Amino acid sequence: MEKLKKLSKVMNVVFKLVLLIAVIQFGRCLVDLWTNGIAVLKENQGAEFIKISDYTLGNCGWHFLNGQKIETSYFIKGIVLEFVEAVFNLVGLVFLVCTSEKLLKPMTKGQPYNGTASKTLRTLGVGCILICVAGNVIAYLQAARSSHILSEIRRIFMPVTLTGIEVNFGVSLGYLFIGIMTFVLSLVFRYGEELQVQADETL
Amino acid sequence: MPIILRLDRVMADRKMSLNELSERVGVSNVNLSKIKTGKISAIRFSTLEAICEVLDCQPGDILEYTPSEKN
Repeated sequence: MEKLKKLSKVMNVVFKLVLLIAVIQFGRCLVDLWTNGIAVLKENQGAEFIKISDYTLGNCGWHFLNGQKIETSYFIKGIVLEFVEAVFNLVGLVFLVCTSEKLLKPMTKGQPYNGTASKTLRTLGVGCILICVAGNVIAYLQAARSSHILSEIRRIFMPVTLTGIEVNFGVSLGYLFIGIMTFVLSLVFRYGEELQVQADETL
Repeated sequence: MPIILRLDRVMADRKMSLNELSERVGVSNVNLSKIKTGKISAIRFSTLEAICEVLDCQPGDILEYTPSEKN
């Protein structure tokens, strides 16, 4: 139980760091969308086509080729989808971190079967499944607007990566697996909670 | 619940306080007082043995069965 308490405390610190990194990344993405997206649109106001340059390729993972000429409406759609992906990444990560913190909080006090663990695990499991589904939808929409559809579909199977100060919340079918297993674990914890209640009520 | 604990009656007969009983049996005050609020649903034989030894009584003196209204 002491190891569990210590591990839970360490994980809480890690979660806060991950959250900080995610917020920084979101901020960088917003700045990038503004300077390399909105600013380029303003420069090419009224033009039917926009020529993509190295400068346009930014931190948000633009999926256009350098030197490519694309329709303005297509470019606007790209900006919107990148913004949606950035928000999705942040919201998804915040949800995972906050739910995990809620799960670990009673464990720091040495009470893993406290009555809320199974519900939190169930929420986490369902959330992971929804993140996988929503992420796949966004990835599909992005693939649909890119000329390199195969490379975009490949992104669907990319795992979550943490490189430097960039958190890439890539869509992965692994989330579906994690979500299902977490849901199953919630059933195990529910049984554990019933046993805990019986033990507490035993003199 | 059909099974009732008459621990307080036996304690009164032996003139023993809850604190003293908990100390001699090795069960916390909190757990012993749960008996009064009916939050006990099971008792270990080892605990029952320790209580009977301290109070010098039989398990039947502490445990009473009252048929439920349905029966």
